[in-house]
Amino acid sequence: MDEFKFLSILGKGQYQIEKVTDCNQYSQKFGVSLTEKDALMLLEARKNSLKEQERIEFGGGILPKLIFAFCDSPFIYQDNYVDTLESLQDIFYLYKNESLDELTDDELIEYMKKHFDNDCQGSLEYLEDTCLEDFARSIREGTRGFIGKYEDLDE
Amino acid sequence: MNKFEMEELIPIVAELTEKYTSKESTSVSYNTAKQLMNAVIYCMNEIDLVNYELDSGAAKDMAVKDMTEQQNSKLAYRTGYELVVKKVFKTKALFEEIALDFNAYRNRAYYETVMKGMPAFFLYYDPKFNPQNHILTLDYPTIKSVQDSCGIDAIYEYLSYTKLEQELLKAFPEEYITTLLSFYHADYEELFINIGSIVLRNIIVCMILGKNITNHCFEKNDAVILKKYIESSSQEELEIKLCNLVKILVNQVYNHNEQLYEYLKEDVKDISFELINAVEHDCLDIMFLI
Repeated sequence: MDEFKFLSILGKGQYQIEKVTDCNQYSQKFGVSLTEKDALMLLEARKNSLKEQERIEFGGGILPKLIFAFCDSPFIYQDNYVDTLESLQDIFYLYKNESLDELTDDELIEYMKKHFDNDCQGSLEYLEDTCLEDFARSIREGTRGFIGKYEDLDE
Repeated sequence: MNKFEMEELIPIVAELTEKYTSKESTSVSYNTAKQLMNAVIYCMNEIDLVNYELDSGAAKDMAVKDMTEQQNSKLAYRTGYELVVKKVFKTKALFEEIALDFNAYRNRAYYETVMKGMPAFFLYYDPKFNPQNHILTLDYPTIKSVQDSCGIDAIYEYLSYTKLEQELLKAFPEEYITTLLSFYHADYEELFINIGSIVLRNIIVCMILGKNITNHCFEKNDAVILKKYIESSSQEELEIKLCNLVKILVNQVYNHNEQLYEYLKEDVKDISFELINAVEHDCLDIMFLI
């Protein structure tokens, strides 16, 4: 199978921009929104991130879910919104791999959000290098024990 | 299956990915995507394989020839998937038939590959998400290799060869075979050797010398006769002669079993080479196992 041809075919979807900008209806309640240009930039970043993490994504992607989860964070405001989403997206794909795909998207996003708002105090570096690193290592060691049970880990 | 473009396969892979992740993950790793893409291609190729078997008259129960001509890629995948599942059941039936009176002649690799490996294969084989992976390493070597096939096709072929080999061996008393194998190597129980091949060598040598296969004494003159027989022809001619001997054996003992002949014929090249080599190095006695 020609891997690169496969990837180029996947990149053709244009409807994703609309899906991302549609999220503005919800995120505007919290004072943050994305322009079409922002959405395009984020989708371009997504493509690079997927390539870097050697992953393939079908459908609308993870951005809408990240927007819905993080737009109400007290540490996110319009000025850092796009950059934070871009970083969160990179971190998300990285830790999908690091957790050996044992976590569902929702589980990982929920864990990220909880720690981003609490012990990370909005620090993406702390979230990536400390919280998620520990979490992923625990998953790799104990594998299935944490799936769906990460709340117990916090306690 | 070359008639579909990559663009046509992507929606099928996307759908399969959704099922694979239970819609709980939007992305998968390259390795998983490759595995799923190969799963789709494998199922589609199964249609070609069955059509080929239909043309050669080997698969009469899987009538898919006409319906595959104008179908779309999704339908082709679904048809192929159904064929794979059907083949799993067909293979399982074949295994059950073999397992009824399977004899490994105390060879551990043979016993473990067939009697332990196969049940585990049926337990873990995944025709939906990984049909191209036949899981087993198939340690016991058959005369005809299955390395060009994969997935359920490889297992079906392997079991077909196992069945033919059991048929070959069943015609002789167990004691004869185990004695022959002990002569071949004291640790034959632990070796990764093909039992049928060793038995066939002995039978061919006996046929050349005109001896009874259970006759336990070879005379000095036998080596001379065998040497003359080998030296009288080139390797190609020797192969033809040996093929004729195999044909005679199959016709007389195995009721003209054409499949068995085709299977055993694969070993003739090796046997002829070994015979010529034995003459060149003056060690023909190694061909006289019993």
